[in-house]
Amino acid sequence: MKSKDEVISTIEIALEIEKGSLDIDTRMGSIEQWDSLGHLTILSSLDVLFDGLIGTISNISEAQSTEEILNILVENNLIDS
Amino acid sequence: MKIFSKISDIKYYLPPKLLSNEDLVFDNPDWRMEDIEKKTGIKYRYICEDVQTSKDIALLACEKIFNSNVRRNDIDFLIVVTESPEYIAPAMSCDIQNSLGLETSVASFDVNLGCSGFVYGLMIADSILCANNYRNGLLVCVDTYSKYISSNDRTCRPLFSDAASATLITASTKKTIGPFVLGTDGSGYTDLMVKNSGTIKNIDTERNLYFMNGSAVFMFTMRVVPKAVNDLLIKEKCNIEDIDLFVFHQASKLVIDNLKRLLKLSNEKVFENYQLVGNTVSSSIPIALSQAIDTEKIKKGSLVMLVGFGVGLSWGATIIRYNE
Repeated sequence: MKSKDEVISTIEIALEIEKGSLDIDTRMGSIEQWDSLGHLTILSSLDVLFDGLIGTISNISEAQSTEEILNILVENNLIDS
Repeated sequence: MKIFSKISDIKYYLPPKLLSNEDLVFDNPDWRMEDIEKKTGIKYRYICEDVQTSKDIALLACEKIFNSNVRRNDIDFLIVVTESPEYIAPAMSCDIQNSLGLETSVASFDVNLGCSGFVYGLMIADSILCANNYRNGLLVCVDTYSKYISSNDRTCRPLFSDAASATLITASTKKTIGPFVLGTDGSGYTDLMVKNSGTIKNIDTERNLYFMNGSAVFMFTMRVVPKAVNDLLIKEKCNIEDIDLFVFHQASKLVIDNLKRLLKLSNEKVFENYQLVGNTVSSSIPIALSQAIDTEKIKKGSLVMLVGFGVGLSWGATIIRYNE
């Protein structure tokens, strides 16, 4: 099982932003890099992290913030709560 | 004798107006074009002139077919795949039949599908040829999404090109097309749509604009396409290694790269042309096929898998044995 820190780090790398610059409240649109295309990169990078399991979660595309992404991953038992 | 079908010729037409990434930044100075290009992979799109319609460019693609190896009166049926017809009614295929000077005995109809439309059209053409005494069918794919896309639409404008293709499908003694895997998930019909179009109640007809929920469509693709590929391999009783080339709908770099990752396909096994052609919707696969043949990535006897996916949400996959 992956950790929340690994997920956050993956999102930061996907968005090409500095380590530590993402927090739980960061939302799509709140930083320049997290636009609609950046969102696709996040989904793609998380799918790599979770070995293709992200593609099976239908509501993950609706997650608009770090917190919402983490909550969906918890609900699907991919990370610890 | 049992009759099958084969692809005998593919021609396409790309409008002369080229829209570069520099042009997009000129219109939208706040767009980070370097970032957009890195993710979409697309450098250029082809756009119709304001006065140029889907019918106009479809005719130009069809004329290329008649300039090569078939006569107009040899055509038995005409299928037009489009989501951007000149009119909701009548079917644009009727207008194209008349404008091309095809016989009145020609069966003509439209298919309202987008990026999966070529594979659906191929299945319909194959079925018609296998079940009737017809010899030749013309499968026309044409879309002019630029007519629906706002100049400041950051999701759609960097992706889509206008284009038309004409594919000649003829009767054959050998099976060269199929089997097929087709599917639909209408729960996502609002994820890709032309809003304010058709006969919906309380319509705001001021502007018909294309809308794409990029992340929902991306996840649909990741969920559905690898499964369709594997289902087709099972149906054909072959392994992924047996396929010489995969021609996916040229959606964008991000989509193609992820399909390669999920299916563990090498670059050599996957044809790509989105960089210089853009996403041409229903013509995406026939244009890619034509270019792959011209550059000898597809040779006589090559086993090629075609996979279309998109608006609907809809998908289709098939295998062709080229020129057997």
